[in-house]
Amino acid sequence: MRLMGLPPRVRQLLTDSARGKTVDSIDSTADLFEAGVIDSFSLVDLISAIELECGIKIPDADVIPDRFKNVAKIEQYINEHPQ
Amino acid sequence: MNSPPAFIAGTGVSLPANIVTNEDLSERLGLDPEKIYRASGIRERRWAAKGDSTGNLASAALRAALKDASLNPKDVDYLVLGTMTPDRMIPGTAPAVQQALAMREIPCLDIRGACCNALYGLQVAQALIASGIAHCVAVCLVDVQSPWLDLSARSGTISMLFGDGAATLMVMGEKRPNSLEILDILLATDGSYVDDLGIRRPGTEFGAAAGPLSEAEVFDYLPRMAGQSVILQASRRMAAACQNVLARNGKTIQEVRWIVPHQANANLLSQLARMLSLTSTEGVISVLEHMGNTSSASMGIALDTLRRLGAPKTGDYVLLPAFAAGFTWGAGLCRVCEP
Repeated sequence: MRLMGLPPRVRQLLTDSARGKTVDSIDSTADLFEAGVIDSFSLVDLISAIELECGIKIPDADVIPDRFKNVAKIEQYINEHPQ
Repeated sequence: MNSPPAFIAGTGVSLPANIVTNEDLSERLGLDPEKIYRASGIRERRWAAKGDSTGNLASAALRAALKDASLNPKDVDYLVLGTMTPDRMIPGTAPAVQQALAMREIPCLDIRGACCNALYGLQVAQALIASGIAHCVAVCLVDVQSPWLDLSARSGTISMLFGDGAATLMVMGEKRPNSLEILDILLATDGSYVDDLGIRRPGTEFGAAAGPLSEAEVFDYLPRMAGQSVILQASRRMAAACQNVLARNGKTIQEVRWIVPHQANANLLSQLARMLSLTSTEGVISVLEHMGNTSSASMGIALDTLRRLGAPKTGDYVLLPAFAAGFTWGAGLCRVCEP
């Protein structure tokens, strides 16, 4: 998985929540839920980490699993919402 | 001008005698008992037997709360009853409770705030007391969900959660021993999530199907829950409501001694604790393991449990977060009065 484009805390959170799964082998467009890397609860933490690390406030209306379901989408969201 | 204060002066609970364990449900729901526990924190729940109607359970909880507050039924001058599972379509269930306890001809109001019914009930009671309309308000909180649950594998992860039960909170304009002063109730709603949690039928939007039901119609009569949406929104909205109600009362989470949330799911309570940056969950009251999610009643049951622990001390702040179908959510802030 190409995690290098993500902020360090977000990267760490994804690695931690993968719980032993080989996250590096997952494609950036692979569904993180289906791959067992994140679940709904770790997605809450992931979104909080993005807010904290990137200094942005993610509106509740944007808190939709589909927006954060793979690394490419997470990167896209961060890039489209600069601090 | 300060409004007259309102106090939770007594609490009472009524639970069906029938205990249903994860092992009892495992085969029908197609879920391993330990998996149910890991996913929810629930090991068993109480389910109504025949005759355990919503009104009967609410009446028993009201009797217990009146006794706790050293009151009798004639003292109550307003009855509010929160449930998603009324005895009848019309009238509400509150009149049945009024009749069962031979109360005076007081106003009886059913409310439909789902799992936020405790917060809505407390807000209404507080307002009634502040306005001078009432002095002693019974807030009955009750649900009997088990008869409507789909006990097959297709609904396993929803049906495993729910228990039946009732709680009553006596709200008064004066203190009783071990009262909780209601300082503030914050509530909010976003109706764009109306289909993510709830039951569609019967109702005027989708009607009541006549004749054999199609597969889609069958699901309309069952609880539906978009799990990811509920977890995401519940975690964030409840945490924000807690922070907002504390901020507008000049308090911080560090000053809160007890958190008595709606008992939805143990993992959701842990998530809420993380989002509030709690260093310990020792002050978070959970009755999920033995009661399950009792919907409207859950916060009242947990609050009754806290009061009976004997642990709360004068001046302790108590935070009451909840999240419900709608979506609607909120948080209450109370303070423990002297014994």
